[in-house]
Amino acid sequence: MSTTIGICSCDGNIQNLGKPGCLPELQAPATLVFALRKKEDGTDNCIDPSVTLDQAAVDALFKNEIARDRFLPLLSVKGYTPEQADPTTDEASNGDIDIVREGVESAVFEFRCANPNTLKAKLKAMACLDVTVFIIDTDGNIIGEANTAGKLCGRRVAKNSLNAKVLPRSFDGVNKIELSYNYDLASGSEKVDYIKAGDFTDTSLLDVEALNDVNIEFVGNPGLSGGTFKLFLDWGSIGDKIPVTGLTPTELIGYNQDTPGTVTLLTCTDTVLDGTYIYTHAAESAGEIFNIQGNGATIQGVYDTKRLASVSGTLTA
Amino acid sequence: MVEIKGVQFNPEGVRKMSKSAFVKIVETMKDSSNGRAKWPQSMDGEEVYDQLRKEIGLYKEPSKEPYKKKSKKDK
Repeated sequence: MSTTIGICSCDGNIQNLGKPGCLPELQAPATLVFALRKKEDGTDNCIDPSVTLDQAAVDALFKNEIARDRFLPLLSVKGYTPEQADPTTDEASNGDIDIVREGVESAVFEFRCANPNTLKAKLKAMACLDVTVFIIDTDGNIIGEANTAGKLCGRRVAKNSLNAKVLPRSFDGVNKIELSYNYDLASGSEKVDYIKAGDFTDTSLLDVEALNDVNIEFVGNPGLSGGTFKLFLDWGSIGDKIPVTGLTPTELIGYNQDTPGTVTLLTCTDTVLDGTYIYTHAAESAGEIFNIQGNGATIQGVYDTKRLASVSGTLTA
Repeated sequence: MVEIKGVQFNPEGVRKMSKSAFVKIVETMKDSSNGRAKWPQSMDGEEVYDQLRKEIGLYKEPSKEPYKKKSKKDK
């Protein structure tokens, strides 16, 4: 039988309250990191501090090919207001007051963003998911909560509590977004733990980069041995999205869906660096469905080219 | 990547392409109605193909000796 009710020890084995003077103090947030609670294989999406936390390990978290397993950093926190509501209490007729439930813990973050509306759409898409958050502080420590296997997981966000409020530019303020959420009651602050910046080898979490979703649009139908396509981000005005420039023929590859197989690009040039690529390859058959995708891996630098494969064109002579 | 006359070629693409297919692409790109895509007129398909194959170590010099069928005596 458990000796505790909630976190209260009932066996008299109380803990001493001494604390070392050399304990490093966690700092204010620099980056907020979202991650789905469970990976694609059903295991917890956490950081294992027992492995070498080098650049490869950091890339495996932040540039993971499996989107569900990937850590999503939201850089440059400009404001942070942690809050905890008062606990819910039950007052008896004789005046005794019992705490029934701890108050909800919440956090409000502020970010500057030239187009906060696009960012809002991306953030709101997570609201109904089982997400967790880590905080990278200004010293590069990463803060989350420990699980029973000794790994650092993100703190659980209460479902449907995540809200993104756009604060458009005014005469006395820049464009910004205010992100708020509640922590799940099962994710109490007494579980908070961290991995210190010094445990990362030759890399710093303050240097992580956020990936960008890349979209494709064929200009006309793809030809039998080449054609033209545009690569662009979700960001920008409706008819003029920000182009993705400078990808090379070794980073992209064609794919014939009707005669399933990859088609190696011979050339793929974005001559005037406006995101319009002219490409060539060995001739394919007319009428077949063709698309462009990331070569081998969908992460190319800071770009996630996974969406490219979802847009196809019919090969036309 | 191998650059010839300002065009970046993917060595893997060259490896997988026949000479005739390559020459056809060069001719198309030189004549492209899309001005942005135009490749230099001085680009000779066969010459560039051989040059690219040299760069990636696949080119074999054609033999200067005329082909001679081995006689029974040579065997």
